[in-house]
Amino acid sequence: MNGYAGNILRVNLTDRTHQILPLPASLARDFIGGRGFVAKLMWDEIPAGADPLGPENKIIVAPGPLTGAFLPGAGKLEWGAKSPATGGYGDSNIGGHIAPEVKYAGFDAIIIEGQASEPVYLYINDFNIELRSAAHLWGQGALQCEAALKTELGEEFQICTIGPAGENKVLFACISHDFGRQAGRTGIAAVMGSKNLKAMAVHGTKSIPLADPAATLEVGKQMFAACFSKPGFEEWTPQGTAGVTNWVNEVGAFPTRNFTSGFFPKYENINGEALVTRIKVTDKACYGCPIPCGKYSRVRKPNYDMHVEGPEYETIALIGGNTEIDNIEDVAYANYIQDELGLDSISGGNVVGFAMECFEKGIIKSEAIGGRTLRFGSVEDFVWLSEEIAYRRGIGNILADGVKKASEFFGQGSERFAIQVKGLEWSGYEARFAPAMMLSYITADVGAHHNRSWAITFDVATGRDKLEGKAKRVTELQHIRPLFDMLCLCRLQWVELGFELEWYPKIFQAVTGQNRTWDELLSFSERVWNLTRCFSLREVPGFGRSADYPPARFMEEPIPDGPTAGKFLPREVIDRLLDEYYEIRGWDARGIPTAGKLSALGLGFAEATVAPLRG
Amino acid sequence: MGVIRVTVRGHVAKYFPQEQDSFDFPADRALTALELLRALNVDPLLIMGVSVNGAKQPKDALINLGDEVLFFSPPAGG
Repeated sequence: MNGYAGNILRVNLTDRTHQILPLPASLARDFIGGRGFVAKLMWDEIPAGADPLGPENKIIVAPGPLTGAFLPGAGKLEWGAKSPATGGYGDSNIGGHIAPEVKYAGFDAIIIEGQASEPVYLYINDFNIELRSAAHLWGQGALQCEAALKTELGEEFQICTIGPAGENKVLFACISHDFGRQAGRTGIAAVMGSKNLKAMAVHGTKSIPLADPAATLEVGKQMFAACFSKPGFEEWTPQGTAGVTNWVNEVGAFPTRNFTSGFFPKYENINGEALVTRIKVTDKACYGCPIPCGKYSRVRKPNYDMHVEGPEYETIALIGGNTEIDNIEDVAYANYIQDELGLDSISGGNVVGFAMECFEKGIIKSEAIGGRTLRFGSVEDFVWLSEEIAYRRGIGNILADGVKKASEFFGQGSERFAIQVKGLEWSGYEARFAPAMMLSYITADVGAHHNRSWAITFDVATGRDKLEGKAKRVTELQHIRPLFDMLCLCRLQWVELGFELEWYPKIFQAVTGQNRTWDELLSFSERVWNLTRCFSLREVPGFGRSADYPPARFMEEPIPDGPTAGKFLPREVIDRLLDEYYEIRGWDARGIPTAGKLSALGLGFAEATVAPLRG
Repeated sequence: MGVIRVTVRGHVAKYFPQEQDSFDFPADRALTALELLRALNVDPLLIMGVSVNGAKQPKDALINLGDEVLFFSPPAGG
């Protein structure tokens, strides 16, 4: 099969065996790769009702058909598992350089199952597969562990690691790679920790069959040239994603003080300009990327001197505005600490912000944390609590399960300001005056994450007080953006430069030989979107409409200040958005795909599971 | 009568007339970037930054006939 390595690697950690299996043609034909493979293999492989942190859960790792080929941004690797954070479908992708290495080693997917009896790391050198002892690595930071394995194995190995947070099964632990790239969301690193799997090191030397090598080279060259010549190329790169900080404040969507507000008055001290002028050392790109969004920074202060990749926008939003740390040096320092601990800095900043509000309201009392404080704006408090969480000490053990479960433990109304959906903490856009962005968050299949649909410019362009057309646009975006995750491509060329989507069917045909229109490719993405919904319906009791609401703060509390002061989206507006969204999707009023929809999408195999839930 | 050369960088070009990312806007006087955007029926909040003749400017900066103005889209986060 052109574009595919042709093999799936199955590794059993319990009995320390592995198998190299042929890639089923039907899997490639119907689910393309990456996120598609993750979704289908999770459905097939993970037994219903599996404990996310038990040996029966499985980790699926998958590159895509374009991975490693010659085109911009073909370096994403998709990770998936039943999420310990949400109990439902979980995936997260990572950039850097490891995705092509997996493909060059000969694999289109890796299934990791069982549970090792002692710490191990997975060593993949082409078809030489070993589980090696990680006893000497256990306890190391995520970045420290990668450096140690680079020394041990050589620079040519690409390595994913977990830090202490993953080892201790913190539900928002992240997988780290390339000293600052993360598969951060949905807690898959906790699943690795539960399996005693500290790292995966990969080196590959094989070739990938291409349908038309000459056309691949030619279209790839044209794509790079088009990227370089795109208006915006030179302006976008210096600040990367941090460059959006001013704008998000201007539109009143910047998470501030645990999402109390959408405007942070001190944003100019943590924005892209502050990053570039005060701490940036150089740009840093992933495999085959012409628009490096990574910013490698150094921070020197009297009490620390460190290098970190970042902070990128999401970290600036969640560690900066959301906990009111008001200078770029301290944001970068807190970013570094969470990276080394192996904490997702989106959920990490969200959880610390939640804890700070709990402290301010007297829900967490000083005597419960050894006489300490948890003050908004304090980097010392931020770092202390991050370490308590990563090692599950004291109050950190409660917060390590995320804001949803922590608020259920604390009570006292704290669930109103536990800013999450489905158990996943909200990322960097306050959406109380952005109905399409709100709908994007509440219907994202993994929980409150922005990368499935980023619709805030659509809200601004079409009127933020209008609801018409919002559900339709969100649905479209939820097919476009996850399609990039199936192809395992970075979408920033499209999102940030306006790179034309028409390029992708051309390169897809050159690589795979399959003549698909963009709309045909989108239909595969819709299939996967419905399959992930079915997975969560199967796994999470009561899942459906009730899981698609934002926290009470967003439905009942007007934004107190800034350009969106006074705005919020009451429950009846959320209901209207959901009704329209479900209708467009072909789901019933409870958010369950109809039998007709499943059949039309080639998902008839899920009907027997889903039918009883319709009642 | 003259023209202002308009270039839109990034994804918000789809909200400009005919979804164009490069065009000449006929004008009979100098305009601020805010006035120009409103004349194009584009919400100024959609624009993250403005450059006039290669130099970054605020949205209330004056654009003279014959100038080239660049409008930057907001990036979409990490």
